[in-house]
Parts: sequence; C-alpha cells; structure tokens
Amino acid sequence: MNRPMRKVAVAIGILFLALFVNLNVVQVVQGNSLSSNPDNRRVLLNEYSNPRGQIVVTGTAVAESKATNDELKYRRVYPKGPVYAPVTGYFSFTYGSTGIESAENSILTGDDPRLFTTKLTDILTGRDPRGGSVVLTVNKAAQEAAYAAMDGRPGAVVALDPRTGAILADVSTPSYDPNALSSHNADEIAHAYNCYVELDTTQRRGETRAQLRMRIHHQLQVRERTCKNVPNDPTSYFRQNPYAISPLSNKAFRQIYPAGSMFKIIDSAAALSLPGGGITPSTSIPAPNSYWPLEPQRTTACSSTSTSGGPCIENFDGEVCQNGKTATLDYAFAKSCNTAFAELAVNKLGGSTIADEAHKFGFDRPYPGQGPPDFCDPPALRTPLSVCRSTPGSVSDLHSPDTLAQTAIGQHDVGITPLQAAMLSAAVANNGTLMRPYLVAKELGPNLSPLPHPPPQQLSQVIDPSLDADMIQMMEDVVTSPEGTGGDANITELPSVTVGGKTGTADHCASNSATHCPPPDAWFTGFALKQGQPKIAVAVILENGGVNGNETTGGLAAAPVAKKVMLAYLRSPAGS
Amino acid sequence: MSTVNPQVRIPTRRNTELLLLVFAVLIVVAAEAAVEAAKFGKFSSHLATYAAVPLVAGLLTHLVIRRVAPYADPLLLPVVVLLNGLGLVMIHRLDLGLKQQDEQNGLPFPGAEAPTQVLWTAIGVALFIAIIMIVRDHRVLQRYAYTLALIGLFFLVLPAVLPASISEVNGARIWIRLAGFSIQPGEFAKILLTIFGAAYLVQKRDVLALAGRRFLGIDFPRGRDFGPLLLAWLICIGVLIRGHDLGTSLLFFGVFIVLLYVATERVSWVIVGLVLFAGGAYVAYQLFGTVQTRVGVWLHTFAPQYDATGYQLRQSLFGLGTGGIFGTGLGNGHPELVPLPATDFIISSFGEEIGLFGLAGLLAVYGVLVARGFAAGLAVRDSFGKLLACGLSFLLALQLFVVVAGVTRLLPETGLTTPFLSYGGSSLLGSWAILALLLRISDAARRPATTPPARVAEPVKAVAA
Repeated sequence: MNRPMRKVAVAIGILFLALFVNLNVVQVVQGNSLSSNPDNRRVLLNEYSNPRGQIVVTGTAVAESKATNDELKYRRVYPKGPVYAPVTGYFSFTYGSTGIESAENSILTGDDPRLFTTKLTDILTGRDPRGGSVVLTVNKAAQEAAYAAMDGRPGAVVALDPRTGAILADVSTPSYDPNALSSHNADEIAHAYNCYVELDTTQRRGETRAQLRMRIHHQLQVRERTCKNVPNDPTSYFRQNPYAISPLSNKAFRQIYPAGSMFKIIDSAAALSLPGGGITPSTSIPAPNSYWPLEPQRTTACSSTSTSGGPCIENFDGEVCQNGKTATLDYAFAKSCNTAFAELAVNKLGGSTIADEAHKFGFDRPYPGQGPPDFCDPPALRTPLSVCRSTPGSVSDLHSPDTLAQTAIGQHDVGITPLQAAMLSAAVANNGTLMRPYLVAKELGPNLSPLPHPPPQQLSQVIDPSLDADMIQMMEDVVTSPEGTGGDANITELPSVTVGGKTGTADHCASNSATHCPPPDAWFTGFALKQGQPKIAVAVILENGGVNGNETTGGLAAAPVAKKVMLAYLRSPAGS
Repeated sequence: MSTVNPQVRIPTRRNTELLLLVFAVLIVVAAEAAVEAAKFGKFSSHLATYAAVPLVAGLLTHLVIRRVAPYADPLLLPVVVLLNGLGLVMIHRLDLGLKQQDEQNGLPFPGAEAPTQVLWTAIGVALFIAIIMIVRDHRVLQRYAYTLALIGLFFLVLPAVLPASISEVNGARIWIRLAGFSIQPGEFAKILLTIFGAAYLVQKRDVLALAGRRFLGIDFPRGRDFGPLLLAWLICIGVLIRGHDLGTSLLFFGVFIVLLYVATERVSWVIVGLVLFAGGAYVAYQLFGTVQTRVGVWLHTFAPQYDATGYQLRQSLFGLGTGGIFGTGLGNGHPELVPLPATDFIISSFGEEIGLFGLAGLLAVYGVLVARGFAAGLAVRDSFGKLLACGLSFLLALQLFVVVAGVTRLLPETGLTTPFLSYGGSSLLGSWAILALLLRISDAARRPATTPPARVAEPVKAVAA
C-alpha cells in the first residue's frame, strides 16, 4: 500500500504548490491593485494611522490631526470649521474627502513623490511617517469678515489678490461643519451627512407634482425632527428653497449663476478696445427707454403684459437713462442702463467680439448646439480645487440680435461662477492683466522645508494697459458718482483707498411666467486700490437678494458685504 | 522502559519533542507580544495567559505521550501546539480589532472569542489525552468499525433531522446548539467515518481490486463492487441537500476516494470517483442557489451583481493584497474588516498581517504535519494503520487546501474551518482527536517489534497519580 500512499502524498504536494503559486499571484502580482482598490477600506484606515499635515491660513491651522485613543489613531479637527469649510473640504472615513483635503492629499499624507527623501529618512530612523503642510493663500481677515458679513444668507464671496491671482477668500453660505463629518463614529457621520445633502426633488416615474410636493414636505418634516443636533443645520435653508444645492458644495467655484449687469464690464472692455472705434467713456451712445432688437426703429415702451411684440429690453424699473435718447458710456455703465448696452452689443460690437472679450476674462468659448454642456467637467481651472466654466451662452445666442441683446446684459444663457465674477474686477484692477487664481501659497515637507512651487501665472491681457485706466475710472464711478449703483461699497474710512466695482441684479426665472419669479440674485464685483496699487478684488452674490426690476437692489444688498471684506483685508497686516 | 531491549534500543525522541515544544511556545509568545506591542504599545497580563495555554497544553500532552506512546513522532505535537497557539493569538487579536470596530460603529460587541477558544483548547487536550490513553492500540478500532460508523452517521444525520431553530446557522443546517454551546457533529462524523472506511476497505480490498472490464487501457472494477462507492456518494449528496454543507461533503468524498485508491492501488477508482464527483457537483450546481452563488462569486468576484455576496471574498483578497510579501505585521493590519475573520477566513487574517512569507511558513508547518502523518502510515506495519494514517492526514491536507484555495480565490469558497487555527470548538476537538490517532499510529510504527504495546490499565493509574 506504500506505493499509492506516496502518490497521494505527491498529489498533496502539488495541491500545496498550487496554493503557494496562487498566493504569489494574489499577494504579489495583484497585491498593489488590490491594496489600492477604492473599495479597500484599509487604505483609508492607514491614512488615519499617521498624522496628516496641517492646512494653514495666515499662520494658524484651519485643519489639523489630533491624536485619539480609538482604532483610527488620529482625528481631523477643523477650528472654525464652517468658515473655512469650502476651502478645506472634509476628511471622512465613510464619505471620502473633498476640498484641499482631497486635492492636496499626497502632501498632507506625506506620500507625495517630492517628499520621498524625508519619507526614506523616516523609514530608516524608524520615526513614524508624518504628512507635510499646505499653506493657503486665503487671508484670515478677509475670509472671516466675508463669512460674518454673509450672516447666514445664502450666497458666496470670493476675494482675489489682483496682482498675483492669490485667492484671499472663498466663502459659500450656508456652510457646514466638517468636524461633524470627520468624527470617528459612522452613525454620527452618516446622520450629519444626510442632513447636509440636497433633498430628493427629482420627480419619479408616475409621480404627480402634488405627490412630489408631499414627498419634499415629508423629507423636510423628517429633517426638522432629526437634524437639530447637527452643527450648522441647513434645514431652514432647505425649507425656504427645497431645490437649493447642498451646503457641502463650494458654490464660489462650482455654482453657475446668471451674470446680470456685471457682464457690462465685458461689453465696456470690448467697446473701449474696438480697433479705431473711437469709443471712450465720454462717447455718447444710444440709450432709449426701450429697445427692440428685432425692430431697431420701434420706440414704443415694452409691454410686460403682452409678449406679442417680440423681445424688448428696457431699463430696470422702466427708468430713463440720462436724457432718454443717448447717454455717455460712463453714465450708462454707472447707472447700468440695459438698453444702452444691448444696443451697443447688437449694433457696434457683435457676438464674436463679445465672446472673444469674455474668453479673455476667463469665460468659456460659446458652446455649439442647443443644450449646454457639463460646465464643471472638464473644469475651467484647478486652484487646485476645480472651478466650473463660466459661459457666454451658445454660438447661436451670440448670433441672433434678440439673444445677443440679452447676453450683453448678462441674462439669457450667460452663466458665471463667483470666482469668475471676482476675476472680472481683478483683471481690470491689475492694468488689464488677468492672473491665474490659486489657493495654495506653499507646500511644506514634514520638516517644514518648502517644496518647489510655481510662481504666479498670467492668464491673459483682457484690455490694453493704456485703456485700462478708463475701465478703472468707469468702475470707480459706479461707486462714487451720484447715478452709480454701488455707492455702498465705497470705503471712506481709509485714506488713499479708492474702490471700483459693478453691481448686478440677475433674474433667474426658470420659466417665462414672470409672476412666479423668485427675487433676482444680487451681485457685486469690485476692487480696492491703495495709492493706485491694486490690493483686492471681491465678488459677492446674495442668492435671491435683490428685488425684481430694481438694479439698485443688487448694489444695496451685495456691495456692503464686499466693502466689509475689502476693509478687513486692507486693515490686516497683509493688505496694508 | 525496562522492557526495551538494550541491543535494539531505538531513541524515543521525547526530548526532541520537548525542545521543539519550547520553540513552539516561544513563537506563540513572540506573536502575542507583537500583537500587544502594536495594539497597546505595551505588554499586558494577557501575555502570560497566551504563554501559559500552549505551555500547559504542550507539557500535559507531552507527559502523557512519554507515558503511553513513547515512540510517537516527535514533530506532530509541537507543530499542533504551535498552530493552536498561533490561532489563539490571532483570535485574540481579532477580538481587539472587532471590539474597536463595533465601538466605532456604535454596535454592541458580542463578546471576545479568545477565552472560549482557550476553553475549547483545554477540552481538546482532554479529549486527546482520553483517546491516546484509551486507544492503546489503533488496531482495536478495527473491531468497532461498524459501531463507529453508526455513531458517525448518527452525528451526520442528527442536525438534519433536528428543527432548524437548533441546527441552522447562516443557512447551513450542520449545528447542534444547546445551552449556549454550539457544536458541529459533522466534525466528529468525518473522523469516525474515516476510521470505518479504513477498516472496511482493509477487509474488502482484495475484492475491490479485482479487475472488471478493461477500457482505454485501464482496468475498471466490476459493476457489483461499485456499491460502497455509490453509498459514500449518496451520503455526501444527502449531507449536501439536507445541510447545504458543500465543504463537508467534498471532504467525505475526497477521503473515501483516496482510501479506496490506496487500498486497491487501482487508478480506475479515482477516475470513477472523479466522474461521480463531477456529476454530483453538476447536480448540486443545478439544484442549489448557494452553490451557484459561490461559483458566481468565484468567477466574477468584482462584478456588481455579486456586490453583497462577494463582499467577504473581496475583503479577503484586499487583506491578502494589502499584506503583500511581508505583511503589515501582527496587530497592524485590519483583518477585522473581513466578515468571519476568525473562522472561515483566519487564513486571510494571517495573510494580511504576516504576508506571503508568513503564510508560506504556515503552509510549510501544515506540510510537516501532513508529511509526518504520511510517514507514520508508510512506516506502520498493519494495513489498517496505513489506511487510517493516510486517510486522516489526507483529511487534514484536503481540508486545508479547500479552505486556503477558497479564501484566495483559487477555487469557490466552501465554508470550512482551518484545522487547529480557526475559532470553533468542534473543529478544534476534531483536530486534536486526529492528532491523537496519528500519534498512536506513529508510536506503533516506530515501536521496536520486540516491545509489546503498553498495557492498558496500569499507566492510566500512573498518570492519574
């Protein structure tokens, strides 16, 4: 019987060999792909086992790792969490990470290839590996002033250093508390997350409008019962607007709004730049009380009750611009006369000139076809947080006079992010030179030695520097002249500071039925110069912050916020 | 030892066994120390416990072996103490991990498994001592073959006829749960039936080896001799149908085929067996959703439709892949992320923390266990002993192969425990019983022909005193 027994033993040997070979395949050949598989939670757990680096704003950490005594050895802590949440993002072991936590992850964990030598030293000396730190361009004074000035009203604020493109403030309100999502308790995290996300408002197959409303109402009731203990509970925000987007979204970079009258900055820059056009701020341009783009001769007033007469542009609240027939460009800009800019765009500039100018300011090219593309993918730029593309509309929008007239006053399909709005002012303030916006000032290794970092980059020259002085003057007149709409942004507290800007009151009606329109968004974009030197450019949007048909309301609501941000920055060590 | 003839004195190698036991205990203590260093940063009082368990278990069994089986193989016991000890350390380590995980998820921790496993180890050692002291000559078992077979069948059938509330766990009706204890009688049935198989085949081997029809150059057995094989096959199918226990029926059939082959030296039995197995597997695949799911999970582990059912295997592969060549180190990985990390998937827990190198070492240790079992079978003089040693060793080897192949995705997962390592009383008890029988046969194999088997009554008193 020994002979077959030996054969059985050999067979067992072969089976064991097969196991060994298979183990080599699983653990060595496929080892890397298995260990880095996104479903493998070990990767995340390991990220928690070593301290992540800090995210630093003006010398203080806005995100840091604190040792805990549970399995995830370190917990991410965000002092002043909601203020900096749009920038830092969150770091959660159930929902992944966003913001700088995600974009600069390799530096914060210390796994970046550029940190290889320090990592090697750590391994050789047996020291626990640590992460590097990320120093942001964000200015503490500007950011905190902006967050405080918004006072919980929905909207966003962006501030830039016009000379470099450094992002000084990135506020999105209402905000959320990233501490609630970086907890080590899965239930707590899920609870907070579920309170922060949007309501489910998509109409299901076979669901009537009434049923959908009931479902939304039910969701709100549940949240009102359960979300009270969540920091920065957004339930009342969702109750006001059930379709509102989640506080988790960085609206300053990722939300596309109608631009409204801010688009007139682009019209004006294009007009001043017209080759041999001879348009200056003091040139008189037609500014009728009503403008019919398809019937240029018609002078009758626009009728709000009847849509039979074709498209018609009128000034806000039916106001008269200067003498009711013509106005200087400067006056029309300061008072934000719609008819003047619609007429200018249709008769003098043309769609392609406007699209080119908008592109220089950072807008996307007009999109072909009818439906808008996904403006967030690919993004316009990475700061390193990705910024959605702003758009002047479709190719056909810029072709037809009626839609071009709407585009010229920032309506129709014009879409703009708050960051892009700030870039409008930043470019004008910086002699027409648009700098690429960026969020990361420095990346530091674990030993605090700075890593090589690219210098500020120029994106484009939006207007000739010799003509830019006119643009600056026109924008300053918006703030200082009696007819200007942005007087509330003026800074009289500080000597030798001048402020320029442009207001916007942007309608965002979903349908043509003017009766159910929500109030328009209130915009302000502007800059502050100190002794003629550009210091800060700011854009503010207050969602639904204006009053229908009244341009001054945009300035009344948004300009004071911009002023507070600029003032706080100019008074801070960095801005003085 | 006065009966040993001085002229043909054969070394008993008991001191070698003792020395190896010390090594085994040292390795277990080092493993526990690594776990505690990684988990707490300091050593706790547990270290003494996990040193004491293998030490006491090893010394007790060693002393008994010295007395009643002095010529037994010196490698078998240290290897088993090492495996049992390492399993205990891993179960303790998983307790720590699972406790933390449950606390984080706000779930109640169902309780540590390691203390229970210590208790089962003690019972296992007691069972070992009982068997090796009562069964003074393995040939005695031959006489009770049919009795043992009946008991074995009874064990096998018992859970299937009991109400599901007592016998069903995770969809498999193979348990008996009474008063907080749960045992799998199948673990004992497989040993009893192996003993019966060996005894039966020793009697019938001459008949079964008779050639029948010749086909493709191979002599096939006569039709009327297929009876026992078909019976074994039917039992296995029955186990599968009633208990949904893929692994156990695979083990039964595999061991029976090997015993048949070794007894008759006819490859034709293996071929017939494989054909029957293939047929059974096909029928099982067609009839049972669980079998289809397991095959599906095996083939398409990462496919979305196996998102839930393939979760365990995916986690196991993630653990193994993360462990890589050298592993994360004991206590530094996250084996608790794999569901059932201490029973079916303890191999992937080891793979994550001690890596390919450690796992290869672990396989080698099992290799030693199986090889020494076969060596005992080769050396022992009686046919029954040969068949029994071969059957039991093959049982261990096949079980290990099926488990490791399952958790590493070489084969579909079958739901078996890893001998000696896994958490679970029945599995551990059964494994210690197999060890007792293998040691008994190896003692018979190496005992000088002039030495009669140790007398029955006297040494029992000696140990008791």
